[in-house]
Amino acid sequence: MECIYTKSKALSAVPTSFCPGCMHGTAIKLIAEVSEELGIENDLVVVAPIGCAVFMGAFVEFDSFGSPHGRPGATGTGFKRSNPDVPLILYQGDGDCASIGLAETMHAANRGENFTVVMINNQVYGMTGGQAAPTTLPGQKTTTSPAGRAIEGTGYPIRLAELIAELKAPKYVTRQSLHTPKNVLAAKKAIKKALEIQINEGGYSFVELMSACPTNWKIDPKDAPKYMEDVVLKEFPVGDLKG
Amino acid sequence: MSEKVVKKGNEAICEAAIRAGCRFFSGYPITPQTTATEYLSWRMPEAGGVFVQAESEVSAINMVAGSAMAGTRAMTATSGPGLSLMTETLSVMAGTRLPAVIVNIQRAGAGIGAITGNQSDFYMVTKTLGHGGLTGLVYGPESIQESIDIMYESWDLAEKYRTPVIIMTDGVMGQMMEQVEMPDYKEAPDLSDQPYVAGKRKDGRKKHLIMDSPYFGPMPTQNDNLEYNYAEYEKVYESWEENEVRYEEYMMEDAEYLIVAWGTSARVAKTAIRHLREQGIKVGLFRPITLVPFPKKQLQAIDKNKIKGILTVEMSVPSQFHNEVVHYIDKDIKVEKYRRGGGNMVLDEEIEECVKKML
Amino acid sequence: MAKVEIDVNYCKGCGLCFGVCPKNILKASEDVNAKGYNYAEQIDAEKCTACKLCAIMCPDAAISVYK
Ligand SMILES: Cc1ncc(C[n+]2csc(CCOP(=O)(O)OP(=O)(O)O)c2C)c(N)n1
Ligand code: SF4
Ligand code: SF4
Ligand code: SF4
Ligand SMILES: [Mg+2]
Repeated sequence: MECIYTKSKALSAVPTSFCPGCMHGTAIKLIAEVSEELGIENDLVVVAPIGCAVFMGAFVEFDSFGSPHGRPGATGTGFKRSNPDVPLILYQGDGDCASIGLAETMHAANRGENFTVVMINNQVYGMTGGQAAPTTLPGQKTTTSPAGRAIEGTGYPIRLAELIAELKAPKYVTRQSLHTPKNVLAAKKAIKKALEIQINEGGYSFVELMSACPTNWKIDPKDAPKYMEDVVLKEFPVGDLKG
Repeated sequence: MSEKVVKKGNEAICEAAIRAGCRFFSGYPITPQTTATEYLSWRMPEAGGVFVQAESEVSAINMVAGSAMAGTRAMTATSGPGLSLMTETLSVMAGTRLPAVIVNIQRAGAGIGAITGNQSDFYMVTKTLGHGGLTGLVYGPESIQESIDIMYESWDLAEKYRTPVIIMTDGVMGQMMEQVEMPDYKEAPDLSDQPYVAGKRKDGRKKHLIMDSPYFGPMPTQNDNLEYNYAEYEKVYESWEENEVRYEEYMMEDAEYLIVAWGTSARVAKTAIRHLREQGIKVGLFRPITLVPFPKKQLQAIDKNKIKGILTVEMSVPSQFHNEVVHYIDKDIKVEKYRRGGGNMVLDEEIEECVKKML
Repeated sequence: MAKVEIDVNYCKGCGLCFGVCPKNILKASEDVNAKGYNYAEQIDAEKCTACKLCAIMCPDAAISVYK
């Protein structure tokens, strides 16, 4: 019998420490698969900042380096400008990318830095136990919005991909989701396209991935995809925004 | 071949960085640092390096960290408020043990303070780099030439010890013009195999997992490894106390009174000492050049049977350097202080007066 | 002929694969693995079409598919 699907060689021989059903695992799996398909698994470097992303380096076979919370846009810029031929992914959470690091994110995008941002949008601060994020849905209960996110006083969810798509420099901006096999495949295609742009012609790309944090959403991982389809994607529609 | 040139302090120290093999600079304008950023905006690309005007000092220092992890000799320059913004990443760099150079061109006071020269960031860089209690090598040159010479060596030291290096000049030195000797161009080493460098993997090299908290090591748990590795860092710091302490003894041989000062204050003190000597007063200067490691043993060795009194001179109110010096001086020696703050210069005639009062 | 192999040490029993199997032949085991998870099991191996949907969905890359 022929093996038609198995764990990518670019993944380490250790199970991830993510919670059951956490789609950080899916995203990292896709990055590993794409790196193998593009033959860059020895070249790719990943920035794994603070957030649940911080563990990524342990689960992949690529080189990786950490970054203070929110600063990958800057650490990535310094790295890539000094190493222009090394493919680079900034693997960031939504709190990291859209809150504490918003300035770094927007300026790197605006400069058109030649790297790919993969942002995991799980609508919470996962690592610190489920506080409200800039992406938290209106009315969504979190540990810092126990009565549900109130628009008055906390504003609306930030749609970062849309903001970045408004800038002139970025070449490819997309939002995808990880909640069904079809969406997972589309997300993989998006990551691949972003890396191909980076490697072949050079340019900034932003891939937002809608993900589940079942632990902090306090739902059964099995029920996450339906919730995402019915509720989350209404606020964060998937599709290409630019390029 | 080294060459003699007339240059402003800020430009001179930046030029020395280029000569030392620095090929990445990121900075955010702040007086009195701006002329450094302006100079490197054209000089760095001319030398084949990368210049990025960052969106903030937070970004600038993180860009430097990123470039260092690409194996490049990278630096930034800033002044007080900017240094405050950089502290988290300085702590990260000390934890990752990243070699890089940070020039702090000091201005006065807390908050926005005053934009004129001062020495008010002494505690900030000598006690710890940001949170966590780790540190780096810190230099306090007194002249443009000395800042050039220290800058020229700084990455060699940073790479040898895997540490950030901080060079503390000030607004006075930054704006001043002097004739200096500029060293020859030096080739940066290939750092691609260093464990803190990512990318450009040679065949068969294992992945590099670069983190600011050293969780890996011989111990069974992350916390134990962190403790173990920090203890190893401490040994490096202790080795600096043996091998890297630098200081100058100026006219100390027959001195009965001593001035202890660093940086610009020390330079002004030298003028005062020459005047006092003309009046027959035997006074000398002890000048720390490294602020970390601090010349503790040398200060402890000052002989109470020889020295009748010590005057510290610094440009900071409240006192910082003075308190540190007093800590190491023999309790039988009287230590007085003379300081100016708020961006005011220390004056040689006021130093003379203070010394005379001690007689 | 088709077959899936579930790496018991990687499976966290999240169940994301259960819902995507068109043949509905994946379910949680009675036993637990070393980490205490009720890992995924295939019940009716003959019905498997090697469509890979379960493997694509699995966040932990625990599923290999053979044909
Ligand atoms: C400067 C700083 N502030 C706060 C924290 C605490 N902190 C760690 S992770 C995190 C939130 C991460 O959320 P997100 O980026 O959305 O990643 P997730 O864990 O959800 O994937 C926070 C606030 C920190 N480590 N550093
Ligand atoms: S806390 Fe949330 S984001 Fe973090 S590993 Fe668990 S499920 Fe994933
Ligand atoms: S999706 Fe993967 S981890 Fe989850 S139950 Fe199925 S095999 Fe196990
Ligand atoms: S390969 Fe398809 S049919 Fe077979 S178990 Fe997986 S999802 Fe079900
Ligand atoms: Mg998050």
